[in-house]
Amino acid sequence: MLKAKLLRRFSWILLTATFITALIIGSVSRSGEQSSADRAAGLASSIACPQCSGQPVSESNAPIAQVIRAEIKNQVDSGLTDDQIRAFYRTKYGDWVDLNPGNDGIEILVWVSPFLIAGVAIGGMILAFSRRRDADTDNELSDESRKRVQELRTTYESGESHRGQNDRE
Amino acid sequence: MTPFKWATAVIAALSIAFIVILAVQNQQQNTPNFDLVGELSPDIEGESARGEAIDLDQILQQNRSKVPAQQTWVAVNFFASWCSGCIVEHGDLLQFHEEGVVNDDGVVCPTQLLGVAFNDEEADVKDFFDRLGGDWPVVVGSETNQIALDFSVLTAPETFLIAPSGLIVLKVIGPVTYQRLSESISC
Repeated sequence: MLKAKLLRRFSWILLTATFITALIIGSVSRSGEQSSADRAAGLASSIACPQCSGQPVSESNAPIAQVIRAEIKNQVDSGLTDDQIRAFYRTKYGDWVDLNPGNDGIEILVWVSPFLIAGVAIGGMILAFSRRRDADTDNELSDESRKRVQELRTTYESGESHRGQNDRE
Repeated sequence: MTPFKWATAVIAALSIAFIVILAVQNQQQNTPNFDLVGELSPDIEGESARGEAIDLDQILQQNRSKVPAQQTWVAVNFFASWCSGCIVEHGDLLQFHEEGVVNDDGVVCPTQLLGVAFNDEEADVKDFFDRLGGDWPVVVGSETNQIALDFSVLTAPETFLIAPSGLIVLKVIGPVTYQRLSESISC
């Protein structure tokens, strides 16, 4: 019983540790210095080709996509930040070409809602499991069952006392 | 209502709200003036296939010291050797370049045709002009990408007519005709 409890607790700790480790590794590897080619490739995959329907310029062979890919590389090499480059294409072709949602205004919902939904789901599950466990442990015996247990106990005890007397005789 | 049902209801409500917000936001997004008509022209600076320096701003600056009838109208043509529409319009551009535009009084309005190679190689541009004729200045090289993006060009051919004041007065997507250009010019 104790062993099972310890094992369950250990598995939860292991799960939490794995999750935190994955988060740390993910954030550390992303914050490292990117080469300009990596930056240009990242931008090209998150800027839509203005002539195609929602396809990123990295995946399109349309002439304008080729122009934008080449120009993104120039812009990265000339020292423009990712935000400045995105702003340039939004100005020229509209906000819709930026496939990365922003982090202000309504667009922040895109980043927040997955965590919100996961939080609500996990919270709901924890609540449901804890209620079920409480219901399992707090089960009261019915009067009928209690009476039957009492009868069995009396029969068992009287049987024990008879056996004791016989043993002594 | 069980916690599971509550959680499901909350997730469903959030998902619906999220979809509605995205749909509404789509209608409110920034829609730039693709035509650029009525706006000041972006500058064009570069080198032609013949090695000459091209500077649109310089042409427009020179206009300021001239009387209106002598001020130059500039037609900027984005083209490519791989584009069939560019072959279609080439005859009209030749006519515009060689004849210019004559007003009702029989006066020739000063015009300048500038070509900008769109996603094309310099050798292919030279070959294109060798085959079809024409000797107007054409910007080639790496600057052409920036110029095309400054003019929000999507594909070739696209032509912009710039008034002597620097304002864009006409944008034609697809093959341009001599008539479209000449009827928009007055001097």
